[in-house]
Amino acid sequence: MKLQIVALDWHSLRYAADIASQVGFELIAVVASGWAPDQEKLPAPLLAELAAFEDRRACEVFIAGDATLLNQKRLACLLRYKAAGARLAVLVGKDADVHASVRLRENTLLGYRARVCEGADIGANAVIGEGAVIGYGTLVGHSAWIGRDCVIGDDCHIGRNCVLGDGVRIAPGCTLEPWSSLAPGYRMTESSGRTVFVDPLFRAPVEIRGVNPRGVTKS
Amino acid sequence: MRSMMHSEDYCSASVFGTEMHGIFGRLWILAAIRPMLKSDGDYRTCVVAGKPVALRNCDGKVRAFLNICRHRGARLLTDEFGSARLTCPYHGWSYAADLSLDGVPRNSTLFQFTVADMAQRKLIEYAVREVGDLIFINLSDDPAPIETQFSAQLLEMLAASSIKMDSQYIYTRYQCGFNWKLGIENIKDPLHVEILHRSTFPDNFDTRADRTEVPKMDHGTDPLLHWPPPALSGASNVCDVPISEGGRDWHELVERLDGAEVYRGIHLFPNVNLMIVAGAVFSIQIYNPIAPDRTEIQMMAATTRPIAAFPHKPLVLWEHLKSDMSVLRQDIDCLENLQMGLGAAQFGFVHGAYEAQLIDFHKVCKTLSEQTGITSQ
Repeated sequence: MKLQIVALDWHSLRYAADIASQVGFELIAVVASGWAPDQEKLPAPLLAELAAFEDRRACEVFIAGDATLLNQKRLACLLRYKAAGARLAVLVGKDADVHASVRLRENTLLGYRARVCEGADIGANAVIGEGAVIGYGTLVGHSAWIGRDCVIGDDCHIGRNCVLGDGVRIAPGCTLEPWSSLAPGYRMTESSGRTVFVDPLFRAPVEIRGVNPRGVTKS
Repeated sequence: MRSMMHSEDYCSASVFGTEMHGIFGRLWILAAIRPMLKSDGDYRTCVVAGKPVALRNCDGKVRAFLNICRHRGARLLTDEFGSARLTCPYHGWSYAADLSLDGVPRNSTLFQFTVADMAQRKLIEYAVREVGDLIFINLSDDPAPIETQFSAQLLEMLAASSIKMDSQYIYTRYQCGFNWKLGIENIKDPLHVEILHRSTFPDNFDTRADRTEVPKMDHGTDPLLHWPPPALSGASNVCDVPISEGGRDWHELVERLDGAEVYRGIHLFPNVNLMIVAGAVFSIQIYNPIAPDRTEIQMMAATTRPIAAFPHKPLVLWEHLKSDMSVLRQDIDCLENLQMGLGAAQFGFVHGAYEAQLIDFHKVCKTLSEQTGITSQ
C-alpha cells in the first residue's frame, strides 16, 4: 500500500517513515506542514516526488507530529485531511505486541516493542511510544501521546490529548483528566480529579480551574 | 544615583514586620479573581500580612474573614480552593452566610450560650472591594477608600478589562527565596528584560529600556531630595510594550480588548504584576511576602471570553503559563542569588535614570512604613 506522510517535524517524520517502510508501506511522498525540511536529509526515494504528489485517493495518509502543543496541531491537521477525504493509516512498529482484542483506530502509531494488553482501548490519533506498556483494560483517549517506555497500569483511563513524557509510570486504576501533561519520569500514584500539568519548571502543581470540578472545558 | 534602600530593608525581620503592618495590613490587596468564587460556598484561602484569610461566596456576596474559628482558633477552611459550609473541622462550630455563629454542637449542656453570646462570636470580617472581576481585601479596621490607592483611570481600566476575563484559568504557586520588594523592583525595571531575558522574551516585543524618554538625573543627589514622594495612587503604573507582529491563530476565538498590539504590564501597588497580552490573555502574578527572604508568587492566566468554540483552551493556557514561567525562572534564579549576596554587599544599589518608577516604589514603601511609627533602621 502506498503511503503519504504529513509531518509536523523532522523527528516524527523519520520515526514514522522507518516504521512504515518496515511494515511494507511504499512511501510515495512527504508533506512538511508548518516547517521547512532540509530536502537533502529526506529519504532518497521521496525527494523527487515531494512536489509531484497529487492523487490522495491512491494512497493512505499518516499525520506524524511530536507531543508539543498537547497534540493539537496534529489533531487539527488530521481533521483537515479527513475532511478532504483522506484515508488515514495505522502504523505498528516492529516487535510491538497488540492483543488481538484491541482495535487500532485511524492515525494511531505504536512504536517498536510497545505492548497493548487485552481489553485496552486506544483512541484515534494516539501515539504509543517505543517500549511503552498499556495495561489490561486501560483506556487511552484520542490524540494522547504516551512517551517511550511509559508503563500505564491496568484499568487506567488516560484522557484525550494527554501528553506523557518518556518513562512516566501510572499506577493501576488511575484516571488522568483530558489535556493533562506529565513530565518525563513522573510517577502518578493516584487520580487527581483535575487536569494536571507537571513540568520541572514549576515547584507546585499546576491546575486548570474555574469551570467545573473535573477541570474539563465545556465547549 | 544612590538608592534609599539598604540590605536591611530586604533582610531584616523588623523591616518586614513594619511592612506587613504599614503596607499589607493597611492597603487594598488583590486576593482573588471572581472565577475562583463563582458559586455559593466557593472559597479561596490565602495568607495576607501574615494572617490566614479566607474569601467565600456567601449567598452571592463575597466576604473576607480571618480563617480562624472563634472557639479554639482552628483553621476553618483548610484547602486553598474549595466549596464548603462554614463549619469548623475541630469541634463543629458553624457560621452563617453573614459570618455569625449559628451552630454549636450540644450548646445547651457544654457551652450554654445565649443568643446574645452567640452574636458576639461572629467571625472577624474584612472589607472587600470588587473592581470588575478582581477582588481586593483590606485588613484595616478603618480602610481608606480604594480610590486613594489607585487612580480613577486605573480603576476604570481594571474594571472594564477584567470583566472580560474568561471563567477558566490556570493556576500555580511558586516559593522563592527573595524579599518581595526585589520581585516588584524587577517588574519595574525595563533594562533587565533586554539583558537577562534575551533568550526567553518573545522577539516581537519591543523591550528597549530607552524606548520612551528617560528623565535627567544627578548622581550626586539623594533621591528623596531629588524627587518628592509620589501620592500613593502614583505608586502603581501601566507600561505598554509594543508587539510588532500579528496575533496567534486562536485570537479570533476570543473577545479582544483594546491594546491588541501591546503587551500591557500593570503594577498594582504593592505586590501585583498584572499583564494583558495582545488584548487576549490576562496573566496575574501576586508577590505574597512570607518572610524577609521568602516570597510566594501566585500565578494565574486566563484568556478573554471565548466567542467561538475553543476546545484547546487548556493547551493555550498551559503554553502561556510555561512561557511566563520560563521568563520568571530566570528572574527567580537571579534574585535568589541577589538576596543571598545582600548581607555581603556593603555598598548600596545604584539607580539609573530609567528607574524613576522603581525609586518612586521605594519612596512609597518607606513613607508607608514610617507612618506606622516604627523605624526601619
